[in-house]
Amino acid sequence: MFMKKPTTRKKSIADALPTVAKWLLLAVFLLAGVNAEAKLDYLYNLSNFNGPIASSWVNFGIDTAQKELYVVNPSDQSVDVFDKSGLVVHSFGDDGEFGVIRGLTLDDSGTIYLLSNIGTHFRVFVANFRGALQEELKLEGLSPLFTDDFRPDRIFCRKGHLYLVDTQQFKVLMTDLRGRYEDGFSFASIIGVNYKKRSDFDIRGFTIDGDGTIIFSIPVQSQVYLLSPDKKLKSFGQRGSSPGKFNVVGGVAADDKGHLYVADTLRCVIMIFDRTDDFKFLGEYGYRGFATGNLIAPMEVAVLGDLVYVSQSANRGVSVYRFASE
Amino acid sequence: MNASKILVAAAMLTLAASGSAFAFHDGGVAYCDGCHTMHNSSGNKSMSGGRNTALTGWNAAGKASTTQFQGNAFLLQGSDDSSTCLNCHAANDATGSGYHVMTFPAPAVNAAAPVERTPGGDFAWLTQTFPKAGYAAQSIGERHGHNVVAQDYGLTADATLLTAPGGQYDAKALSCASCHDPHSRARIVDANGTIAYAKPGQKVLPIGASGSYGAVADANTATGVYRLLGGANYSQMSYSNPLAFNADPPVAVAPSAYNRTEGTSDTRVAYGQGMSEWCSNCHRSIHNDNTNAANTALIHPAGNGAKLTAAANDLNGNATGTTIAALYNAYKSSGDLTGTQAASYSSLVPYEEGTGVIATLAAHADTTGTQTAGPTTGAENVMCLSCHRAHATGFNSMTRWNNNSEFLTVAGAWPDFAAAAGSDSLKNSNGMNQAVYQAAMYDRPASKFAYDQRSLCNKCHAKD
Repeated sequence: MFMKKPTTRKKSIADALPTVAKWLLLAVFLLAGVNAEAKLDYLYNLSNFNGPIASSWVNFGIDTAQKELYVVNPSDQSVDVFDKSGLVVHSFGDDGEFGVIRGLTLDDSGTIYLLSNIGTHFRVFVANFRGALQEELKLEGLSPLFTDDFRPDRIFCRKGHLYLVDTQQFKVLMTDLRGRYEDGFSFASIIGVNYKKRSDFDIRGFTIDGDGTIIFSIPVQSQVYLLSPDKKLKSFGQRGSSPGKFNVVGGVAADDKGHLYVADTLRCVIMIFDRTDDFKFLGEYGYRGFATGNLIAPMEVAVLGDLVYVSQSANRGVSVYRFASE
Repeated sequence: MNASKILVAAAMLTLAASGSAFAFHDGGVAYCDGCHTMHNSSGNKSMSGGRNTALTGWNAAGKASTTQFQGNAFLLQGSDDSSTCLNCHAANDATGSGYHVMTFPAPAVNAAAPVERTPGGDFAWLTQTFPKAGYAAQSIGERHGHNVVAQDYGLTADATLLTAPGGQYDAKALSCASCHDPHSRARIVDANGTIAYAKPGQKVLPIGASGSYGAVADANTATGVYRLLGGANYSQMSYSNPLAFNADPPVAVAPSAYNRTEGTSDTRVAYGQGMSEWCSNCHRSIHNDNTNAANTALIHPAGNGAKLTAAANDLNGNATGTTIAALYNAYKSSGDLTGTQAASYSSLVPYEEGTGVIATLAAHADTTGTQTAGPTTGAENVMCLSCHRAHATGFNSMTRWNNNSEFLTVAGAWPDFAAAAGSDSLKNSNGMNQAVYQAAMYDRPASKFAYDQRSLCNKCHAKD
């Protein structure tokens, strides 16, 4: 079975209060102008010893144990590894050994799983912490849903499970770390998309949080969806161009504090929402521009501790922000 | 108000049956703040953010602002109009999908191929300058398509062809909006493809849906025109056409899932009429609408009057003994003229059907491989897109196949730049590795062609 552990909502004092008291409390907060905002402070761009590295719309992988960020550049199939200070410490992949690398993920031991497209086929490679090829993972026992036109473009490792996601087919495959089938499903119908018309619904941002909840954005709907392991669906988002609204929604990321980070590619901001409080909008940062800390067409977002990484277009590289509460 | 919606799968299945579309354009002008910022301010912060002064192009100095309440030119949110479009229409895809017309970031040359497979082509080919191979001219990126300027996506103006061939359109001004009218005044108002315009003093039906996929206007609503193409007298605010558009948009119907591999079946867009006339809005002197029976115009015909019923050499001693249509139907590959009309269509050499009747075209738009019939009515005509793609291809002059060397296949395989030095495979490779070449042919296997296949000009002319 797919992971059954339900997502939990933090209990607060407000949960214990009667409804009238909650409204009074809310009124007091509003009158007092209290607004628990979150904040992103720009730190730097990912760099090597020559300065910031130019890149566009790269993909990310996270090594939470080593606190390292892996950057997959689909343009040249290279993988750069960055330490917490944003400096590249290692690179691999640009010799073509892994084909066209689409993404990577790491398990708790630091083993790297790379998703690669070769022609119209996909392969999953296993590499050690240096990026040296160990083996190709053979996927076994797949259900018919994953044997024909399954072309995953995202890969995640969470709590000993590998997730391969085909965002065009709206399919999620879950295996163990040896590639043995555990579960899988199509989520087009779950979010109300006619499967035959799924190409009209472009999934841009996609991530899986630590509890196995899949989180993704669909720009034409101006929505972010959260699908929990027990298939409970939540969604939020309003179309618009004012703060907190979605114009062309892009990448999504989640931290372990209950925050969701959502990129808007057109408005060039990273929005922060509180998923424990009905997706309350907490603030947005970046803004379109070529000045320090500004963004141009942000796409992918990743979170490592209190650092937030944002890929963008125009060879603007990866901007790094620090999350802070106000 | 609770902003979230907690939904269960069963409830959503009901919605799934409705198949609601959430298209942005819906055949006409979309919501204004999808592209513009009215005051260059949101949350009391500047939205336009200015332009990249290190780059050149459409957004010349003075047209962009970093100052709040002083926005970019035309109040756009992107660096330029094409960059604004590509915020949605470019994608970092593994395979072609949806409405994406550019692989971004573009792959390194010969490491991989652009992945979008729309009938118009992937603009990332503009970034792919292949190494010189054989005796042919080098295949240079900027020769692969329409060089729209999109600063945020690394697309720059054509440095060689400074104006539109056959016209006067300034290459530095070329953008998505040069061809596609994002506000789309033009509309189709009946089932026969009649086009009308909203203009002062005239009342026309409002646009209710896209006009690219076979929807038909009714008594209350029009449909948009094919691909929001600009109509007669279309003129951008950002650039004054030196030659005013004088032709209506073409009538055509695309299958709804049009961005797909053609490895197993063609993506058949049912082109109706008017495509070449529309291209001539910019490429006017190139255009020759009629067949040239007297052989005097000395320019390849393309247009509503360039019927495939034109006389052709029957390859049996009679210079005018057959028709282009008959050759098209008979041609299967180099040397093989055993084809039949029922199975002769190739999306590598499409033609117009010579009709604007939407239902007729919609019946032929297909991706299943069931609509394979070639020309039969006598109304069909050759058009610009019979040989070229509208956006970009892997080949010079944005042709659908390689006209840069003699052979498309060598010894039953696609050519390969990685083949042995001096080999025919390398000489005919266009500088492309085999996998990239196959991708440029929309993933078709070489086995669909002759052992040594020559140019697909021969689909109509059968000289091979």
